[in-house]
Amino acid sequence: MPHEEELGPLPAGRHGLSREQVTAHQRERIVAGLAEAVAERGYNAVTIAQIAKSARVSKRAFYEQFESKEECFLAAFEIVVSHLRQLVEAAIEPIPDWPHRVVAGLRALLDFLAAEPELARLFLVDSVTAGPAVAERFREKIDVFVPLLRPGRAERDNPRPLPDSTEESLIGALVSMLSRSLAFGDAAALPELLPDFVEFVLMPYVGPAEAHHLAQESL
Amino acid sequence: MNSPAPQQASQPEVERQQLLDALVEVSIRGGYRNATVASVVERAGMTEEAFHRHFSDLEDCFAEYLFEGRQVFFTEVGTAMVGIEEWREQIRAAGYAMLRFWRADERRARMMLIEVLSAGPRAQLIRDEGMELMFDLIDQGRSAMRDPEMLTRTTAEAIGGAIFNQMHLALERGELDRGEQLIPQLMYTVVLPYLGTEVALEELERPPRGTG
Repeated sequence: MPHEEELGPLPAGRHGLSREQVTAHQRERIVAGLAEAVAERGYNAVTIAQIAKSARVSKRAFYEQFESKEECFLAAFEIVVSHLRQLVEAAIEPIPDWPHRVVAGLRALLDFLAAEPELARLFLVDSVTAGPAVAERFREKIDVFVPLLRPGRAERDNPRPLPDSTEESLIGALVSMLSRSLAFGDAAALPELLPDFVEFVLMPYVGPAEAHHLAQESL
Repeated sequence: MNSPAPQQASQPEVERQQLLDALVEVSIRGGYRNATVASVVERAGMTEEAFHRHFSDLEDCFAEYLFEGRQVFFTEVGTAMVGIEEWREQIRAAGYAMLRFWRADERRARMMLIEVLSAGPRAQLIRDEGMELMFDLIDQGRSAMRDPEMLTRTTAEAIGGAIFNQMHLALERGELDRGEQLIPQLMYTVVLPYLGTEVALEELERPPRGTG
């Protein structure tokens, strides 16, 4: 495609694309623009004009796709979550036993966040600070990871049940640690957290000794 | 716009406190992210000039508010732990004191747990220093272990994060009122890595005392 940087809104038809394809492309482009602009300025400070500029579309094109900055952010967020979920599922799929599935899932999560620091910050830092509507959505979305942990309950040989909120609490802990590491540190170093994550997440299910063993093994 | 009353101008502390109160009002109503110096001074019935006698900008105002809140928090939690030797009981005392603190003033809790997230880097730093102190306390659980090297400080950070998240959720769901019901879960989360499964489950079954 020639003159990509000067394109502005993609006119329908010129590329032999249907209106829907143009629209989908346009949305992705704006979402990528948002990620870039937010990485530069932070979600709260960024304006729609800056997002449109990063996406190389007009402000009007932005408003054709999204009603507000928040709506655009939520769209970006959805894309990251569903992508991440696919990655995690692909990583755990071939592995038969539950504890090693968790290890593989956590590894895929950390590798993705380390490879995509801008998206990682968008997902884990900005989403928490972007206001109540986004924070609420964040909590709903993050719950998609609960079913990945729940089967761990069957691994326990202790007859006393785990508290209902165990999975929610573990995921809350991971989110908190990740967002702190991203806010302060180097995203590339995230994979180093793997053994600690493995140990912490598996402990309620397989007990401290086995969790420690699996953590060492994951190194 | 009213000009500031003369007695306020002669009482800088009172004036400052009124501005901090107005910041809370405005932030609770419309979110800190939508607050402006203009909306805060309007709420306080003061001028922007008066505001700038106390704070360089809105971020400064929020940071001061948070700093003072954190002082009170650690004074109360620290006092609750005085004379307690055993780590597990220190955690319990700190847990109850923490819940009392959040419940005593729900608007303050909202400012310190939720609104802080949309505040600037200085406020974040104040919050994070506070969390580090909490992690230190949790991390002392390692000294109760046969092999303290088996865990790292990251475990304490994860537990602290889980607790912070739990408080955040309880506040958003309006569940702080039944705060002491959160204690067994909190104790379970903290002691599990350090004292093991049996002790943790014991905590889960132990009925909470009233927080008064």
